[in-house]
Amino acid sequence: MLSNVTVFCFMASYLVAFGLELARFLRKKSGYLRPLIFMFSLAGLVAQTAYLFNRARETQLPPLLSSSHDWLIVFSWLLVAIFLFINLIDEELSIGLFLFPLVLALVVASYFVDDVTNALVQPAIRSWALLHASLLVLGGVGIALCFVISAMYLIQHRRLKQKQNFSEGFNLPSLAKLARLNRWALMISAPLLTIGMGIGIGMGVYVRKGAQAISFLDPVIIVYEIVWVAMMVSVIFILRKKQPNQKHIAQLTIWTGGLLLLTVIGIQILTNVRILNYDSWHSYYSSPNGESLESTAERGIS
Amino acid sequence: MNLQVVYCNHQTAGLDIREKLAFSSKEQLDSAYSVLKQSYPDTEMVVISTCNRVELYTATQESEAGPSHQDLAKFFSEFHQVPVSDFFEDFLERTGPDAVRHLFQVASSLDSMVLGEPQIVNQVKEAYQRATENELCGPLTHALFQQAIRVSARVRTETLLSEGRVSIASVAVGTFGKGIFERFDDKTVLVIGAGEMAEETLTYLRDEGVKQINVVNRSFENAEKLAMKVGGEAKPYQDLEDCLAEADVIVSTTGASQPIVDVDCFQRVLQNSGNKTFFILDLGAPRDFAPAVGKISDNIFLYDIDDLEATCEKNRKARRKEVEKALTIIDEETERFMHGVYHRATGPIIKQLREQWHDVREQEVDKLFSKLTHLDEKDQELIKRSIEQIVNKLLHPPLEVLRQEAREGTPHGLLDALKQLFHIRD
Repeated sequence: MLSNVTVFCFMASYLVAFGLELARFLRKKSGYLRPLIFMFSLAGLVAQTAYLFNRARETQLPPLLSSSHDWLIVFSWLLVAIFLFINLIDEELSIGLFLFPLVLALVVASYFVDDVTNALVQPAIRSWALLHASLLVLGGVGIALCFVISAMYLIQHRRLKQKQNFSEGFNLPSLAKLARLNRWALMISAPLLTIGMGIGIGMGVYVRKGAQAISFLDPVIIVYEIVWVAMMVSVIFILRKKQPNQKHIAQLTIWTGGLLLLTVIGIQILTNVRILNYDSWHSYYSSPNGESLESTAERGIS
Repeated sequence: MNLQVVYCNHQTAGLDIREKLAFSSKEQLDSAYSVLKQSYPDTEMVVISTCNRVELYTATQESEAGPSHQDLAKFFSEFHQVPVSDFFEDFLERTGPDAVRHLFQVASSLDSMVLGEPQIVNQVKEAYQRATENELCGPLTHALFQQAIRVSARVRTETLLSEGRVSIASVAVGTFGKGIFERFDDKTVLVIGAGEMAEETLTYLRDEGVKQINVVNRSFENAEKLAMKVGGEAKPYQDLEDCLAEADVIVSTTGASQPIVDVDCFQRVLQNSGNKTFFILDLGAPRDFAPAVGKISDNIFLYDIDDLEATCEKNRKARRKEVEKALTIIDEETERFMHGVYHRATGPIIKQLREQWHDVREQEVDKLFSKLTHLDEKDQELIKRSIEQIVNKLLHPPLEVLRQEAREGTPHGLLDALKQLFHIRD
């Protein structure tokens, strides 16, 4: 039965949940929508868990390690889990309007990236690879949350400056709370991403010493490093000032966070569908002997 | 069956009259209930007494048994020692479905000073509970008040009547202040001037946990008076800029003809305060803060009385649109309730009439069978059925007329006639 669960199953659930969130926003008074949103999200999460479990069984690898496709599915799974958790704490908060587009984008993006096993995950470095992927996915979730929180901050700020009232179905936290949450999310995700990247570089050096002649000119790594520098600049900017302008921070976060999510996911899609004809550690990799990806993968696992 | 309400509220009478007729304490209300119970032992009663209304609901099983409008006016007059002539014109009466509709409107806050305010339903619940404790509620008032509470919940769920805040102070703190700050207990509030609206706003801020309040006024004496009243600290007017820099929330209500804080002044304040967030409520007319102050920084949120009033009015308009929806619900619920009441009034008569006729039928059938001993069981059954059908057919027209009449109201005349004609006893 588990093998029947496809990406479409949970994507449809999240689409319905997002549609209901929109209806809640537009129809104002609709108390019955919240339990429905929760139900559909939970159903989607259960289906997604079953899908990941099934994938892990097939590949004999944890989902984070097996492929870029599974990495993105785990990313979206974490966002939905966070949504459900927040929904239990504060049922009035309109966070679903912001989180579901991200979740859906990640699920759609997972369609376009490889779901075959990563060739470079050798047993010797498997634990390090798992740590690398876990830190990056957690850091990525943190950045996604920074992005959402900053978007909420800017909308709330605009409303207060324009002296307007929100409608009944749209509730956002106070500016002070959003600023605090944004700061924490950024402070937590920056080290996670930094350590994750450091481990990745270490693994690259190790693999280069072996049979694989991989290059550090992997477009995914280059783009990631550029955006990481931009993100670190924002973190330093936030830490440096005692009373920073929170609106500027939100704007900065939304740009760097958005850029990080867009480029890291975008570049994976581009390299996977071979629009960018480069070898990437994170998607398609052809060995120097010209062996196919799958055979390399099989060797890596064995 | 008779339902009645006598009342005076904020729409019919001034505060001076309402104050005189109100029951200000539980003890006073209990004492009133005791007098009423003695005077009208067979009448069910509930009193709703708030700052905006004094209402007395009465219900009796017999239409003539309860107190009249005049009787109740006399009671109020004697109990409160107020001449009837002082209030009788403002002391209205409604009966039957109108009384039911009135209570449903009151409980749904359609009759409140602030449309959609949530407190009234609790006041109705408390009044009902008090009357129950005083053993003045009966089947009619129980049904009426329980239904009123349900109607209020239905109106709240199915309409947007309670959406948005509609008073300046509640909009200022609830809609805007809470959108800026996460908490207020660590904030410093500065009050400039000593207007009434500042006091009302402070009440809301204190509810949110504000502890530190500074008061600045041109007259230090007045500042001290207000500070004492609100539990704050008076500061000399010369320290205004320092106080501004120290404050997170500023409430200004001076009677100054020119703005007392302009852009230059606030720029100086910002040099001392850094980049912190300011929530400024300029409740003065003319304004105390130059509008450009709000544009100096992203962290300054300045609201004047027009901004707040505009939001209040928008909320009020949104509520007004919902009034029609709420009235439709109330009409529907009133009709349903009255149906139940009329059904309850005619039900016992119909039951007794049926039982009486069927008793007669059974007696006569038994007599007949004792004479016609040759009849077998099948024939007896046929005869029984045919007589039963005759009885039912004869009963059908009067009972149908009774049911039809009951749809329009309790058919007291018809019920009395049936009782007399067929010797039905209560």
